[in-house]
Amino acid sequence: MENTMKLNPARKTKSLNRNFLMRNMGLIASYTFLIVMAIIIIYPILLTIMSAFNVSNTLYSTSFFPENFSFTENFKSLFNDTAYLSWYTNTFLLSIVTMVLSTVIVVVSGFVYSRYRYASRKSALMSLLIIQIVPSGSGLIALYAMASSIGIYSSENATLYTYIFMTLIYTALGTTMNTLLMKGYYDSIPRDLDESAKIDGATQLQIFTEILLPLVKPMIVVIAIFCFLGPIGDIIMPKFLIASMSSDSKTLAVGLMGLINDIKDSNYNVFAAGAVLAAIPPVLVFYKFQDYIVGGLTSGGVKG
Amino acid sequence: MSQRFIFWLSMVVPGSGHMLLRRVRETLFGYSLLALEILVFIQFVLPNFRLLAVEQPNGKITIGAERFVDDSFLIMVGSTLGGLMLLMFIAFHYAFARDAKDVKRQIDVNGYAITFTEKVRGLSHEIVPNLITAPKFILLFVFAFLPAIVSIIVAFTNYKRPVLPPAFLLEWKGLSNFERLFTNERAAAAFQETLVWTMTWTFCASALTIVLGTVLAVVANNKRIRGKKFFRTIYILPWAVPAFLTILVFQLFFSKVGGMNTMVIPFFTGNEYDVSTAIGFFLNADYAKITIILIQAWLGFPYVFILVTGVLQTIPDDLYEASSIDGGNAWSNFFDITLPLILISVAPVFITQFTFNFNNVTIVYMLGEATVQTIGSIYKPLDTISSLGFRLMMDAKYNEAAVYTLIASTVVGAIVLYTWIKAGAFKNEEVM
Repeated sequence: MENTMKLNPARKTKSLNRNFLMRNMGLIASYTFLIVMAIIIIYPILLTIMSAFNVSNTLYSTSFFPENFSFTENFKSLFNDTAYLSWYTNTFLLSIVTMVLSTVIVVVSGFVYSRYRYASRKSALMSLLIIQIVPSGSGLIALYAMASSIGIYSSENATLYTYIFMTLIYTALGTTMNTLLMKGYYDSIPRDLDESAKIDGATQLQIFTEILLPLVKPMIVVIAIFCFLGPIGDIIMPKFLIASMSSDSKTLAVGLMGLINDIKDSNYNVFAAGAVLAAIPPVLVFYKFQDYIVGGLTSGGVKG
Repeated sequence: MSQRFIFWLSMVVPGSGHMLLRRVRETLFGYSLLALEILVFIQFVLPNFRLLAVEQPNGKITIGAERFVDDSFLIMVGSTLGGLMLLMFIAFHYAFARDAKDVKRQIDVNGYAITFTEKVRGLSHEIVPNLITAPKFILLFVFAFLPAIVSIIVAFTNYKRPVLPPAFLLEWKGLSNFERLFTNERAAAAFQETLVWTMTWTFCASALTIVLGTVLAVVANNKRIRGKKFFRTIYILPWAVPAFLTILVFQLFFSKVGGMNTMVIPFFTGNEYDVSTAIGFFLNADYAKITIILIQAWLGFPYVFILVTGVLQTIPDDLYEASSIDGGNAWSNFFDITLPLILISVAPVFITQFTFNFNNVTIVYMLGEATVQTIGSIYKPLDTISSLGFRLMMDAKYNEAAVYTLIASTVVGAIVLYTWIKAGAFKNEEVM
C-alpha cells in the first residue's frame, strides 16, 4: 500500500513532464529552427559591424568582438585614404536623379494609359510588355560602344556625361514594369470619381493632380523606392561603363569591390566600415516603407 | 478604279490615291512625306547600307571601307536605324493607303466623304496622350531596344580587342562565333560544362530559396509562436541590405582568413584557427559551387518569406475549424489546406526565381572574382552562361560575350513569353 502511495505522485509528475514535452515538441523545434535561422542571418551582418569598429594590423581576427575598439579610426582612414566620399555622393546623386525622373514618367504615363482611350493605347501597352522580356544586361555591349562612339569617354567632362548616360539607362529600364504596375493601380480607382469631377467642371489636369494623385500615393512611394534602390545595388553597369575611369568617379559598389580585391591598399576593417555606411540609407528606407513595399509586391508581383 | 487599286497605288506613292479622289491637302501631305522619305533614304539610309558589307581586296567582308574614315560601329547602329526607318515608312504608306481606301469607300456608299479638317479634329484626342508618353518611348528605344538589337548583330562580327573601331574595321564572321561552341573540341567541352552548371545553379538556387522562404513562413506563422514581429524584422534584413554589400561580405567571410574559418569552424570543432589548414571555400570548385547556392538562398529567401506570409494571412480560419470538426490534425491541416494554397501562389514565383537566377550576373560575377581558374580550362568554375556574357565583355571580347548574352536572353525571353501566353497576359482586358 505504502509503496504504491509513494510511487503514484512521482509517476504523475513524470508523465506530466513527458506530456508537456511531447505536446510542445513541435513548438520547441519551431523555436529552435527560427532562432537558428535568425542567427545565420544576423551573424555575418553583426560581424561586419563589429569589424568596422575594430582596429587591428593582422589580416584576420579570431574573436567576434573588436580587440582594439575604436569608434572612428576605420572611418577616418576610409575618408582619408580612399575616395569614399565621392563614391558615396556619386551613387546617391545617381539614384536620386533616377528616382525622380522615372517616378515622374511612370506616374504620368500610368495616368494616360489608365484614363485616356486612344487608338495606339493597346499597342503601346503591348510594346511595354514585350520590351520587358529583353533582359536588362543584353544591350550593354552596344551601350558601351555607343557611349564611346559619341565621344563620352574622350570628352572633358567624361565622368559627368557617363553618369548622365547611366541615369538615362536606369530611367529607361525602370519605366517598363513600373508603368504597368502604376496603370493597374490607377485602374483600381473607380472612373466615376473622374466623371463626377468632370461634371463639376474640373479639367483633366485638375482631375489628375487633385483627385487621382493623392489616391495613388502608396503606389508612388513603392515605385520611388524601387527606382531609388535599383541603381544603388547595381554593380554590373557601373563596373562596365566606368571601369577605366579614375577612382573619384566610381560608384559605391565598384569602389567597395575594388577595396576588397586590392588587399594591398586597405584592410578588411576599412571595407567593413565602408559597407556599414553604405548600407545605412537603403536599410533605413526599406524599413521605413516596409509596409508599402510588401503591399506593392503582393499587388504586382515585382521581383525584388 | 476600285478600292483595291486606290489602296495599292497609295501604298507605293502616298497621296496619289487621294489625288485621284481630288483630296488636295492629303495629296500634298502624302507627296511631301514621300519627298522626305527619299531625302532620308539618300542622305542617311543608303550611305549606311552601302558600307554595311564591303568586300576588301583580301576577300574579307568588312563593315565600312577604310580604316579611321569609317567607324564600323556607327555604321552598324546607323544601318539598324535605317532598317527601322524603312519599316516605319512602310507603316506610313500603309496608313495612307488605308485612309485612301476608306475615303473611296465612303464616296462609293454615301456619295461624299468627311473632309480633312473633320478628320484632323477627330484625331486630336489621339495626339495628347501620344505626346505625353513619347519621351518614355524615345528613352526606351534609345537605351533598351536599339542596344539590344545592335548587341545581337555584334555576335556575328569579330568585335573584340584589339579590333576596336575606328582604328580597325569590323569583319562579318557569320555564324562562326556560334559554331565554335559546338565544333571546337575544347570550347565545346567547356560550353557543355558551363551549361550543366548553369542549369544546376539555376535550379538549386531557386528551389532552395523557395523551400527556405516557405518553410520559415509556415513555421513563423504558427499561432503559438510569439515574437512574430521580431522574427520578421530579422528575416527581411537580407532583402533590405543591398545585395552587392552582402556578397562582398560573404566573399570575405568564406575566404581563408574570414569569419567562417577563424570563428565558426573553431567554435564547432574546438580546434584552434590555423591559416595553413583553413579552407578556402572559393578556391575549391565544388565548395565554391555549394557556397554560392547557399549564399543566394540567404539573399533570396526574404522575398518568398514575405510573399508566403501574405498568403498565409489570407487563409480564413473557418477552413481549419471545419477541419478540426472533421477530425483533422496539424499534419492533415498542413498538407490538405495550407500547402495547396501556398503552392498556387508560389508556382509563378518559381518562374520569376528561375529566370532571375539564370540571369543573375551580380552574384556569379562578384564571387567568381574570388575563384581560381583551373589550369587548362577556359572558364572559371562558377561561370554561368549569363555571367560569361558579362565577364567576356569586361575582357573586351565583345563578340563572344554577345553570343552568350544572346543565348541567355533567348532562353529567358522564351520562358517569360511562354508563361505570359499561358497566363493570358496578352488577352486579359484588365492588363491591357
